[in-house]
Amino acid sequence: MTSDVIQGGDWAENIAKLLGSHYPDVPDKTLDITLATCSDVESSVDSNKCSENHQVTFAEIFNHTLPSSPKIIEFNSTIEHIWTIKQGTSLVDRDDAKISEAIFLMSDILDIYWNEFPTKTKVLLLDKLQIFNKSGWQFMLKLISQLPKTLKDVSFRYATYISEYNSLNRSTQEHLKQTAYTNSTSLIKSIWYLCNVVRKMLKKDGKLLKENQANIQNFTVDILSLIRQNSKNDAFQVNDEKVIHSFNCKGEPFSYNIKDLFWNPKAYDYIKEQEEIFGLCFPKLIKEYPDRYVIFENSEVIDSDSDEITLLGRISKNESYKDRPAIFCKLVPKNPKMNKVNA
Amino acid sequence: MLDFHYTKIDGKSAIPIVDLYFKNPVNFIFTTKTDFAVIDTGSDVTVVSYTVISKLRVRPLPEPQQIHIKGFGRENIGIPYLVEAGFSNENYIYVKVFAIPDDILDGQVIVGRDILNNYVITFDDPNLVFTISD
Repeated sequence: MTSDVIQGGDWAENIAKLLGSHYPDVPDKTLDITLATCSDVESSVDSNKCSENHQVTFAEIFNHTLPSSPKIIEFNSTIEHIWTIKQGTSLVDRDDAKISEAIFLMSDILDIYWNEFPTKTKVLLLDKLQIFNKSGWQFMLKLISQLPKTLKDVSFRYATYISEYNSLNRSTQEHLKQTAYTNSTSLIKSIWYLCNVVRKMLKKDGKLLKENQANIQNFTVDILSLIRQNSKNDAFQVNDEKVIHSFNCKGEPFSYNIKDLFWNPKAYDYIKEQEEIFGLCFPKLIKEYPDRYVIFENSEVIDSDSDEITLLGRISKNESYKDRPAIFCKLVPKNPKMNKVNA
Repeated sequence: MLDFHYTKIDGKSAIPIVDLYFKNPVNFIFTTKTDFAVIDTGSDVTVVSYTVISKLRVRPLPEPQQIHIKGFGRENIGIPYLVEAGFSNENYIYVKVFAIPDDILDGQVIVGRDILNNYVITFDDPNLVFTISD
């Protein structure tokens, strides 16, 4: 393993600062963090294999495990291409769609075959993901920040693989969750949280197995909640901090703030407050009201319906609800799709 | 059934423009009307100027959304509000509209499929007329 410092420019430094400010107990250089992760892997699994890990391509891993298929071959070439992308290259010049597709494909393949992999393959794959973080860490985070929807999905799927979270003792789990809940305000930190779980998991005993469906479900709900909470005020944050740059009807540059679109300032504060409470209640909501619109206030669901407009019409006629400055109506997503994982 | 004629503006091709009535679902004192509502079957949602919302004094909903207006690349954030809307001041439906600054829409309303899907609309382009019925 080399110890070269990755040249990521200002962007990498900013990420390092961001991570450092929220996770003071970890090194302030992104590369140091990822190198430490790789060291964890190295010390926890067969050292001979580990020394070769960095030379092992995805193609080689899959070729030893899975029957070859055009889809997998295509995936291999794409993912290896991503691996070799030089840092500092503008994302604009890249084929984002292809990259996203490859990431999804990777997730799908792991979804399908994960249970069939021998332990060492799992170790290699997870290590490969860590290497991806090492050689493409900045790229990965930038991708996260630029494609939040993609990343939510990736981080969600990634989380499902890390069922060993439940093998950690309760206090460690709580610590991780609390750290994430209290410190995280962005998706980037969600991902970092997940990586931290992996680190701690690998540091613990190096084992990557023994998951069960219920544990995965609990973990994914936790992670969904976390991601949801982290992204809860994305739109508000963007507009709190930044001005939206647009064009007026004459085609001239025109800027505005989202707050300007609330005739009642209390409504803005009300929605923001309820967004926060909604995020905290998300695990409960996703279990009790999957795929339903809910009228939510202060941890309670006042009414729910499968149709948003029907619900809004009904609540508008509700005398006891009329004095609210805003209507907090939101769709609770379906329960996360369960992987085919057995105990 | 309501009959309308296409409207020609500034020498451009004629477009289907209608009057659209709004009211506050909770307090019917607050009503307003626009005479420049563009029928846009390509729009998923209905977009109004902030002035319409401030006149109605309606309540917002969560989850502001990105709205593409007047061409690709022109993104705006719209705030969702619950209103009642109708093509006449007799029949209204509940609808979620998105408010964006007046400067962007210049007083127009974009009538999207969330409203249009509640009606039968027939376009007679050769004769530049169209009809709307419940």
